[in-house]
Amino acid sequence: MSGFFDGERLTAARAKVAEYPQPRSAILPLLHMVQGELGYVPRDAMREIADLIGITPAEVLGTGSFYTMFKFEKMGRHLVSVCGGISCMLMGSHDLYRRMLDHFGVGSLGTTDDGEFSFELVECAAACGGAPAVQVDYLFFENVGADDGVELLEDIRRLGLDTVYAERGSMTAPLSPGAEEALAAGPAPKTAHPRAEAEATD
Amino acid sequence: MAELVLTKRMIEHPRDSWTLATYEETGGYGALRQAVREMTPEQVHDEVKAAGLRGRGGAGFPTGVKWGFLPDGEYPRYLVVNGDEGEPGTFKDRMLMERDPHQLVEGAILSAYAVGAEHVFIYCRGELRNAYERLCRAVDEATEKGYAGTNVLGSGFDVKLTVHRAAGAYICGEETALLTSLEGYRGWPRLKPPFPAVKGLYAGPTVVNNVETLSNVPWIVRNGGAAYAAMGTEKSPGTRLFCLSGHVNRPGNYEIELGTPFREFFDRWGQGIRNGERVKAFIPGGASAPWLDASSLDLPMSMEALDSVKSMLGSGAVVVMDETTNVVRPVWNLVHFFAHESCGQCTPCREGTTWLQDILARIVDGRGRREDLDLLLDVCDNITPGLGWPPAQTTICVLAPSAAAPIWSTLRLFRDDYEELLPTANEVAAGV
Ligand SMILES: Cc1cc2nc3c(=O)[nH]c(=O)nc-3n(C[C@H](O)[C@H](O)[C@H](O)COP(=O)(O)O)c2cc1C
Ligand code: SF4
Ligand code: FES
Repeated sequence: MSGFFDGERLTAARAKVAEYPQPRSAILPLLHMVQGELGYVPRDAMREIADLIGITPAEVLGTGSFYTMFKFEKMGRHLVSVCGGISCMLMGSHDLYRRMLDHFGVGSLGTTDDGEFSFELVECAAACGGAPAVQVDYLFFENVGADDGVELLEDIRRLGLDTVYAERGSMTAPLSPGAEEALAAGPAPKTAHPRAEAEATD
Repeated sequence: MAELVLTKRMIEHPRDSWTLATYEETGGYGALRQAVREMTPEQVHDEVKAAGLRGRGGAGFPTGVKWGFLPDGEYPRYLVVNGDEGEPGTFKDRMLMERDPHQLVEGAILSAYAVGAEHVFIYCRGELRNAYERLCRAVDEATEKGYAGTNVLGSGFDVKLTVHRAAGAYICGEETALLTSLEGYRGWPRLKPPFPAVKGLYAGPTVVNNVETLSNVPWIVRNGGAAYAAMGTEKSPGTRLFCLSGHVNRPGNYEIELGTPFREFFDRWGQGIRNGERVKAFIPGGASAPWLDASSLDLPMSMEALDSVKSMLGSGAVVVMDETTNVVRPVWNLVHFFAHESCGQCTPCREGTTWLQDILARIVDGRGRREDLDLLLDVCDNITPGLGWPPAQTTICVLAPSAAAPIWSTLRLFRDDYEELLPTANEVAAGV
């Protein structure tokens, strides 16, 4: 039986290892290579990674399991990560998450029966200005209202992630809506503040 | 008059600000050409010092001073770019990496030149797929064009860049945890000293700087440190990216001059509070910062002004809550976050944050007890004795005191919100 790392993948893996002054630094990049293709990291692949960088498989698992992105069991075709962070929660992301789970009839961290989606509620996804934020396979969709989440996923199921992302993904959104307008208004006049003044005269 | 240092290109070229062609057409890599041909590394370092640039990752440490801590004559040296952005409320580094990766790459190369680093690692938060892909591409392009690699622009300076994709652990944003993670281990913070400048990556001298910090460097080299220092306030020079979110009409990343009052920031940039409500509470600088109430709205957004009210600008994340909000649930949200992200090495953090989270959860659920409010303060005090600011520390890193800050600050300002959620004596007696 051939492993995960052979042919081109082996060459790429060796190049990754050589990129770093110490081989062990390549552990996350190699885990990403596997997960990027398979959606999770099977045991056999961990053994191969251990061999590639000269540590034990237990060390690979021990290190890898510290990082929440790595999954060690088979996942759905798409990973849906709804942000549960403070700004998204203030804008209703917990409702959004609940509605998605109810619609697809799965529990948190569950996978739909047809294997299409797995769900997770994650910490702040660095998209708080577009709260509530959702990632599908780590591509951002912003301002997803509690009512819009189900439709978004149904569209992805029907049309494919690439198509829906190209239309509605975060990279097509304008940058900081209104930034230009605010800038055109010129810089803020400096309003002296009593406390700042008191400090300045100290 | 303030100029845009960081976001000009992405605002003027929203469709392709991240491409090499647009970067070069708008003066990109000009600073690098100028530096390696006409300036010594010391001169680049001097400009950054003169700019008074302070770190944008949270602690606000002067960048030029930090670079000066590298021990003389010890090589190899490393420069590590902290792109692990994960502090709740913060979303500026992601934008800088996605929309202007070459600006960061040029800033990193210039900084590596100044400090004599031969290898730059850009540690990019794993979930930021677009940022990672664009950074990888930017590094490849820069290397192909001779801006990085061996003999940069024929100057004899060599620098290699590696984009490293992290994998979802907030604690890896803490600089020593980041280095441990980059070495291929679980992201556990290390005791300081030794500081990374002395013993960092692979035990070599290492500078760790935030994405936004380094994205300023090309502008500083091109325009001179003095021009940068002329903006903002004396102790907080320059512009800064603030991440505005929560109950404002127009959330977003805004680059503004330091010293602008919060009220004006919310009204002008944020276009006011949603539904015409008023501000009840706001977090002035990321999840780790003590909260403020409406009485602080006229405070200027500068590091020294925030010091004076015992809070901080931290990571630049400003989260606004309107008067319809009961603060306890959002506080629980943050504490839950810190408990989840605790690496577990220190008992006050591992146990303390779990306790705090459990107590808050039962208060939010309507199952709180009157004694719980004092118990919260007691647990906070065990984590950070005296509940002062800057916080006293009983743990290896400051994650633990960060979890306490939202609690003690809101118990001072919004105790009524907690009381409102406690069951009444009758309810307790009736067992409902
Ligand atoms: C728990 C914790 C998380 C942190 N997360 C980040 C982060 O995501 N990004 C960042 O730049 N700095 C973060 N920091 C601050 C770094 O430790 C470090 O101070 C910073 O990267 C230094 O860069 P600067 O001087 O340019 O700000 C964090 C600190 C702590 C204690
Ligand atoms: S304070 Fe918490 S996160 Fe920091 S080292 Fe200790 S246990 Fe880990
Ligand atoms: S809180 Fe959801 S992206 Fe930050």
